[in-house]
Amino acid sequence: MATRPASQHVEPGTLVRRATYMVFLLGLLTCVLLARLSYLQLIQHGYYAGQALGNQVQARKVAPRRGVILDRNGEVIVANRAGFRLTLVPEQVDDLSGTLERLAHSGILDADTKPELIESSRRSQPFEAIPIRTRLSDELVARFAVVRHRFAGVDIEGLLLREYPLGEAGAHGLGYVTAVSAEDKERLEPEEYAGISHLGKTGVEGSYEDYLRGSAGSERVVTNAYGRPLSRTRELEPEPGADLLLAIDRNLQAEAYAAMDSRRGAVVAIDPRDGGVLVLVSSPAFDPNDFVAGMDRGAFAELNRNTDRPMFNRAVRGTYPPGSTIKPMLAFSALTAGHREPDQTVNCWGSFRLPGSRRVFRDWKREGHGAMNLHDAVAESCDVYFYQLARDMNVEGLHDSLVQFGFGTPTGVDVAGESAGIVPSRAWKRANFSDPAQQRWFQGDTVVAGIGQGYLTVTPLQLAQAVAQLAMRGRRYRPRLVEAIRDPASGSLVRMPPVQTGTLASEAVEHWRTVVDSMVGVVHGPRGTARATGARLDFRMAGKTGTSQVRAMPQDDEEMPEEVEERFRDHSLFVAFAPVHDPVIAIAVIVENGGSGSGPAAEVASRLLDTYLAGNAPPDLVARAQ
Amino acid sequence: MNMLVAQQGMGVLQRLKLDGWLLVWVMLLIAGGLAVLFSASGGSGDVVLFQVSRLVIGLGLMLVLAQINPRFMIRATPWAYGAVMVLLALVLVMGEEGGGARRWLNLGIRFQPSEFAKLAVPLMVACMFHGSRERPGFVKTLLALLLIVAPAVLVSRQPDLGTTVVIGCFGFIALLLSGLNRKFIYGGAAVGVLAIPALWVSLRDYQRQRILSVLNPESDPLGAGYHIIQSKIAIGSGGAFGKGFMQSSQAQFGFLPEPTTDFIFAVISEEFGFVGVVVAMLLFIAITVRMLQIAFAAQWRYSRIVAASLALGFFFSFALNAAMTTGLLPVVGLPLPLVSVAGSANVTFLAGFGILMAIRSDRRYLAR
Repeated sequence: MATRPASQHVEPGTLVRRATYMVFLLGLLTCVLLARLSYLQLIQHGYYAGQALGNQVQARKVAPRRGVILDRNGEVIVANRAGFRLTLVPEQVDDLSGTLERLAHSGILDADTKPELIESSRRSQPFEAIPIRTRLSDELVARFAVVRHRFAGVDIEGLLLREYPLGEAGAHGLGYVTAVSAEDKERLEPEEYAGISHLGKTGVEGSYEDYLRGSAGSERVVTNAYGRPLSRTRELEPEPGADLLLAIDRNLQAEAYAAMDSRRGAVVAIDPRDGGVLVLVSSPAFDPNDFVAGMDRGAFAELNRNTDRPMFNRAVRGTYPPGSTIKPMLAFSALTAGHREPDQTVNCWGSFRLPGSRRVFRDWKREGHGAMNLHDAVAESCDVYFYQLARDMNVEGLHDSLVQFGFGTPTGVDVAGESAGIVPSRAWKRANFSDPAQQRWFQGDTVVAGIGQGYLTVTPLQLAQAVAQLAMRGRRYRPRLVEAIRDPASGSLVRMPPVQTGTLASEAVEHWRTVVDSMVGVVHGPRGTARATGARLDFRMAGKTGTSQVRAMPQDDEEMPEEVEERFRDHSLFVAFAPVHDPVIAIAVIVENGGSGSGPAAEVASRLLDTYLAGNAPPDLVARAQ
Repeated sequence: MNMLVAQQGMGVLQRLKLDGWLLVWVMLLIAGGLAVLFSASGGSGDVVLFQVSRLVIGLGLMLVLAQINPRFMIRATPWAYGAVMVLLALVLVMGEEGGGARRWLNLGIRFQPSEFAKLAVPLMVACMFHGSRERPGFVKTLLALLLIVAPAVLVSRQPDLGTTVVIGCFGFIALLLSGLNRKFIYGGAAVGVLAIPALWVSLRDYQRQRILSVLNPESDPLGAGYHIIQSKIAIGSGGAFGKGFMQSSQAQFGFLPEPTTDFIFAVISEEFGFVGVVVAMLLFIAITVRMLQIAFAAQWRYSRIVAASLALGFFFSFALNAAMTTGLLPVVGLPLPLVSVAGSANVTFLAGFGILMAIRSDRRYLAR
């Protein structure tokens, strides 16, 4: 190298030398760059090519079509409708809270749901799209389309949404679906709900969830960095859920709910020949369509606060004193057990007193019915006759009779949450009271049970089942809403055979005739308690009224608000079946605080039987009516 | 016939005082760059048109500067330097904000004065040391340092860490080439090493995070490390020969951030592979080599310092961007010269080539 002069002068060579050093340095940097590029592009190429592909290709679940639900005539009562929802991929959103805020500001999202959405985004799988608003209206879809470019990671997705054309009328029988919640996710296996947006909660939707759901398919979706799909490849076709065919009659169900007219109560109608539930109405109800879209907290709280309890399924869970509606059943048991002969009379003076007791059991008719045989006692609903009968049958006899008609145990219907009701006995009283004084069974307990009061409680469904058993002269079938399942793959119907759950003295033809005649007398007899209803009918039916006491009316003369007072009024009950000889429908109606059984309940029941028979009556009956 | 055309061509270039080789390499780089930009922008004609408009301004400026005699340039340098300082001060006062920084000045046309400092600083240093053949003493060195640091500090207040570093580098290259005393070089290096902790403390949070994310980008794949990870995926997935023109899935589908500016090098790598990157590199090397040739052949001290500083600074700018894109250095947001959409930077680089061409014409004039 050139020797450097001792002077402090800058030689012309200095610049070249120093520049050369720097070129060497830059050359070194270039070599490092080349090494780096060879490493990334030549050695690690395979890895990064996979990463690039993984960036774009995501495996996604494809939601299956949930099975639809048809009524007995093949009419759709639960459908799937194409709709849109708004989804969000948390990883593709820079500022989740801000994005939700801006969406709310644009009127696309409900601001109240924000905390919940942030919570569910925390629980979501990586790159999983979480729904932030289900059921977008066309207007909202259009509104979002305009601002979509401002919301990376937020997208509109088409899906099938559950639709309940019956609305409130079908709520308690059909149930509803709701979006898969955080609790659901903890309860279920991830594979079970992957790709599934909604789960059936109650009613048929709930109990047949495994059939209706189907299983998700999968597809590979090429997306850009904002999650917008560019192309899709189906890998596994989703398996649609099975369709259900119900015993429910869509029109009758709708009419039953309408007939209840928002009054509290329940209607259950059964085809006695196979246990098929034609109508299962609990009133008032809620609109299951609201649950599909997701209800805001306020509306849900309102539903639960409502003193009429619209969320409560009275038809299968509600327990009521059956009142006089059980008199035909007791009458039948009295005949078969030999406690009474059909023509044996009891004198009714308007009240009944146990020997050696001062307690008076009153008949609903103060002046009394006079001499009553079994037929008249049922037709005119004589209480004294049945006070006496109950005493003769004793608590054991009563218990056996009621159990034979299916009371005291759940019917086994295919809707969850059924109550068992109470058929009291000595053992029951011992087990259910802590006070020794109350554990004893009193004769008075037996007496009031004879007219369906006291500790005895039944569900409307049990009542309908017992009436169906009367109609079938002893044969009882397990009530069911679903009659057949349509296999989604083959399209073939799998019918479920009716399940007979009881046979009660079918051979006692005479006794059955006596009891059924007495029930016909209730409606069509000259002094029948429902003769006013019978007068309007152009067909014959067997029925029984019931008026059950809620509890003792407070005796003090204090004025009660009308609303409270109303709740102390008697429940109105009516049971019936028709046609009297080859019955096709048995029904039980309860109108809470509706007053006399011959009033509102009988009116609802007769209206429904009329409607149903008009469409399903055997030819001879139609001929007779004309 | 061909010879005749070529000679005529050379004649035109000579009359316009343009350097043929430099022009050829630059135009090749620009042409390739526009093609890549078209792809990186997802086929956006608007982006390409914007880039072309800025490049035309730059080429015009290059043509004008090529006509200026270096002796006039020396006299104009302090004024130019002063003007840049005023503009930098104006940015802090009335600059336009964007992305949390104040970098743009809008005087009818929107531009970044910080880019001009890349040119003004080495010119100013060269101007200072041109007159004397003495090795610069302590006071003079300190003064030169002040002239480098002052604009760098102004730019760092915007804040713009990348450009601050590059301005400093252009200045120090010029200072070293001016014959800076070795004692100062070693002393400076020692002070520099000691100053690193102080510098670290003075950085903004996001800047620190960028630096840390180079060390371990996977620690925060969706945050600070995202840029680097996606850039590496783009480069690596390009392989030896690339995915082909307009086939960059990383850029087309939006995974690669800033594909038209800071990360356009990754787009080149993804679409044209290792081969394509090497070709691009060779173009940058060719331009640098031609610039150094001009520097070494220049007779004037000022011209030599300026030309060599600009040559090394140009390559350094390229290398910094490439190193950041490949994950070797923290991402601080620097453009790839003449390829990225960066109007002011590209105009500045082209202006630099104009100065180089002026120097070359002057050399010939003096030499013969």
